[in-house]
Amino acid sequence: MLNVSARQHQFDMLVRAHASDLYRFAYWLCGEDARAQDLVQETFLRAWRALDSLRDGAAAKPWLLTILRREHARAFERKRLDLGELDEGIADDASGIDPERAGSDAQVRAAILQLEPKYREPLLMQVLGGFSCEEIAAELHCKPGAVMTQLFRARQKLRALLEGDEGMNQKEASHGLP
Amino acid sequence: MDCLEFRRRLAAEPRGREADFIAHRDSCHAGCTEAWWRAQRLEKRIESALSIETPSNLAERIVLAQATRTRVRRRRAWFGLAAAASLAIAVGVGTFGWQRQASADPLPALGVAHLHHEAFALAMTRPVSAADLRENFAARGLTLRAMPADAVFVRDCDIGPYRTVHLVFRIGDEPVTALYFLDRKTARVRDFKHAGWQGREVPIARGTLLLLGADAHAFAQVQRSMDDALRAAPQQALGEL
Repeated sequence: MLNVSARQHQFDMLVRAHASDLYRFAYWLCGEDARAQDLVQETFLRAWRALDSLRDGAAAKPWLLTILRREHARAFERKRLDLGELDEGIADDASGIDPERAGSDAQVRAAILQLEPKYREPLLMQVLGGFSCEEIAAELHCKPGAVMTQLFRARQKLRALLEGDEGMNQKEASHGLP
Repeated sequence: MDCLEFRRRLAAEPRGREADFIAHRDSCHAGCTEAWWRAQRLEKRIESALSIETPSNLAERIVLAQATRTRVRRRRAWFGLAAAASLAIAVGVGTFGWQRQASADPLPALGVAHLHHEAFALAMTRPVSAADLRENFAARGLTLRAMPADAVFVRDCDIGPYRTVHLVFRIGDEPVTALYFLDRKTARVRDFKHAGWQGREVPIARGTLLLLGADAHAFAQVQRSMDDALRAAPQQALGEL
């Protein structure tokens, strides 16, 4: 078991290294700033209690994201926000972003929030969490092939939302190709 | 790998670096290279959109929450033992009056507010050097008679109207915050509770030492250490500063 000072130091390093990534993941998972902050805080408190079980420092981020997902499922699953409410808040959330990017980001954010959770969650796990398809499959208790299909469809839907159905190459769309 | 497999993999894992995937991208003349570039552009847009700004001081607030939650759990255990003795009830009733009085005092409120503001200091574990201690006290015009032991953080801070030196000591597994308020006189040593924190005010030299922690068990050790360091601490001549 770690001595207390080393344990505290390890925890401090974990928080500083991963709090931002966890917040972003939580935000896109639950769609609300205050809830995301609560979620991240609760995740780290649970991580503190289970810190001795973290053997490999390189595995810290997926470990924390797993805790966060479970915490979200436990605490907020019944409170999934109506997507219509989310759009308004996200569209205004362009602070700290390059003005030239703001319009594009708002468009993509609105499209991401239109994704069904079954598509959005694996996409977040891959893009923000750095999970592989196999790791996402293990987390979601499904087969890697199913995850690949979800990711495939998530991007297909995003592309369609961003470019417009009529702008898509009909031949590629009919084959589900990007 | 054929084009269909490449496109499916591209939509599922556009950042993939597998050898067969990259080899097909570089050798296909049926549009897969262009599709790869389109997918990278989309991926960049997704990553940019997801990169929202993180709330300020998020990490510090998490560290504070951890320190506070640990403290509450330990205090509950202590109260569990105390509850077994009826004497504790009598003591609790007897001290109610002065606790209310203490809560109205500005120093505990200022100290706790500052502790929240610099919560990261509670997580420090490495001893600060004697040079850092000397430098931060010297910035307040004080020369230390001895080096306070077990200090893991030191900084000269302005708290409300007061000039202070902010220290954190790590005694066992608990951080103890010590705020030395210069030119703020206190008549006597007194304990208090404020916003869930156990505290103690101690008159030392020409100022007041404010101790804050999970409980008071380590206060005596920090108090002795600070008393040794500051008692009759000579004020530096301005030329030395």
